[in-house]
Amino acid sequence: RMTDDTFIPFADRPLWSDVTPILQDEGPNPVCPIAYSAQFADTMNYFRAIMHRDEKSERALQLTAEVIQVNSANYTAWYYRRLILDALKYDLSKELDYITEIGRTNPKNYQIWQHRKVVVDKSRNATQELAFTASMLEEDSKNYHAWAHRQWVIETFNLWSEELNYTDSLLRQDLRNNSAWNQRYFVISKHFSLSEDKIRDEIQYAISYIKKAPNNQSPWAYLKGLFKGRKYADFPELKTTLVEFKDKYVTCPHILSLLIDVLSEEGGDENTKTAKQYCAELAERLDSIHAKYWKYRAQRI
Amino acid sequence: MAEHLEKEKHTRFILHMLNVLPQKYEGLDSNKVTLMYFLVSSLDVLGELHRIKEPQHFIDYIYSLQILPDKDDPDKNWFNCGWRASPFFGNKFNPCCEPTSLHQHDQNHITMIYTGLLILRILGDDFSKVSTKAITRGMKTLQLSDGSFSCVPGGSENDMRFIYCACAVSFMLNDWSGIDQDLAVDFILSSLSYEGGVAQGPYQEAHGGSTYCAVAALHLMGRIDSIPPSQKDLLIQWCVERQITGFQGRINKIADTCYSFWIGASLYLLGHHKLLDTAAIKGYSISCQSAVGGFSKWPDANPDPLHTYMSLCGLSLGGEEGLGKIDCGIGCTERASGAWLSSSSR
Repeated sequence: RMTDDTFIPFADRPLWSDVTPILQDEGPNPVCPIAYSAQFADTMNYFRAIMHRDEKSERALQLTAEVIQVNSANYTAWYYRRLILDALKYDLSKELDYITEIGRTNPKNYQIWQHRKVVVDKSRNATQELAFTASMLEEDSKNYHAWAHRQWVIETFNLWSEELNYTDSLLRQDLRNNSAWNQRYFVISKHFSLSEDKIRDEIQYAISYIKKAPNNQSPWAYLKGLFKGRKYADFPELKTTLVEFKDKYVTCPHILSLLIDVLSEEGGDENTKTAKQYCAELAERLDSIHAKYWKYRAQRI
Repeated sequence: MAEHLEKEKHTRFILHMLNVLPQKYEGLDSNKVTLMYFLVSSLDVLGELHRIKEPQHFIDYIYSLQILPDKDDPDKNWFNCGWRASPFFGNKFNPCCEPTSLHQHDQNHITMIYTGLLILRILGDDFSKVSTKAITRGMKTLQLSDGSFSCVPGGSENDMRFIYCACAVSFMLNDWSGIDQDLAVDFILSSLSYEGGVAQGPYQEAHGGSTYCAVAALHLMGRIDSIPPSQKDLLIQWCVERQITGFQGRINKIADTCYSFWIGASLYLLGHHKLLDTAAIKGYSISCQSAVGGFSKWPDANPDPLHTYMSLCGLSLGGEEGLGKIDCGIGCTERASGAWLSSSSR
């Protein structure tokens, strides 16, 4: 990060003439010293001074923004900023604008997402959140923070209605987006309570995506996940489909992997024998990097 | 491009960073103890700790970051007791941990207690100046009603990382009064995703980092068996399947060297590290070895302390000659762990 060319040293700012900066004390033998820029050191010197006198003013608020500019991960700056926002009864819609602007250029910063959550929660205004997270996900469709925030917003403000469609639109663009699959699971679990009807729909949905790209692990993990707490035997069409796929998509390891699970549930000598054969095929041919795992698995059938 | 581990280059890379961190590390000023831990522990894994000329300076520096109870009113800042990330608050250098006045905004950060204590341990300190009771009391303020932990008082993000830090600190201090273990276990189990791995929180995406934090936290609490057997099988399978040459952190993401530790150590703690293809792990990590020393997350990127440390640990787990054995539960060499040794025997 380059030093901001517009930076004016605090000593040259009349507004700050009454404040004595506090220098950092690294002791007589500094360890692992960071080569701070003049801007960084100066900004922090005044931040220290303001915190030590517990000042919560407009100029203090602006100072926290300058600290955030040189180190957006400084958790104490964010904490202190929130104290000032409270003390000044600051307009939270303005703060939302600020955090939106900062958030765009720091998409993976924990403190920024947390601050956004606090502002949205306090103001009880979630009107921008789906659009904002969607725009962040356009930049990086797997941004973990964006997805976590989106889940929180949806749950807190009851914004479920379009979410399955949203995940569908993302999967049409990239069917390997595992985060979008995960979001789907979130919706069908929390909003649809994993009802049997919904499960049946989603089985078909997953299978349709498997047909598009059989080696894509995401819909397979999703499909398997749909059976949590249920029996494969209750959906015999699954096994039929898998057997069909086995002959069609001959290089796909996931088919055999799921068949092993299905056959293990069914039990019986023939199935055990077949499942062990599948393990051997996976170990030797289709999934050799996981060979040791498949050999271990075969022993456990 | 070397095809073997270039230990001396890594040692020099680390020593260079310990000497001075470039300006671009300003953004890690509030994470400095963690950064120092990656560097110091890496040297230990390489067997080169003796290259630190003045270890006492490190010990003094770390101790000076401890936040003690206020000398006149110990209840005034009880929620802040613990450790700072760096001297950024403006506290006076206090390596002997003398009683002093503490300020209400001088914040504890749970990760810095974890990494600070580890640095002390690695350098042979006996924790005699560590205020255990103050730390565990301060820790209590960080656990939320769902069992997860935030990292600083006054509110922060809460996720699996900080449950792990809290457990590791409690383990190291042999004092679990700062954690409600049952609540923590509940949060961990409810964060197992449909995929089999563990997410940062309930319903989020299964991820290698949170999987390690969850498994290691359970291990340190002695509660691995609270994972139902069928779930454990899925978890083991999920971890193994993250190996694509190196490891990915989530399904369909590209490989990143740090997962050779997060996933490798998770499997180790679950008793199944031997299910991995160690030659492929080595191949990928070595392809991420930098010509100037250190490791990067993927080939042809810049090396950094975190990926250097994680790659070395991942290689050690794979049996690489000349690297110290790792205590996977705590996050340091077995040499440093010594009598504490948290890992189950191989």
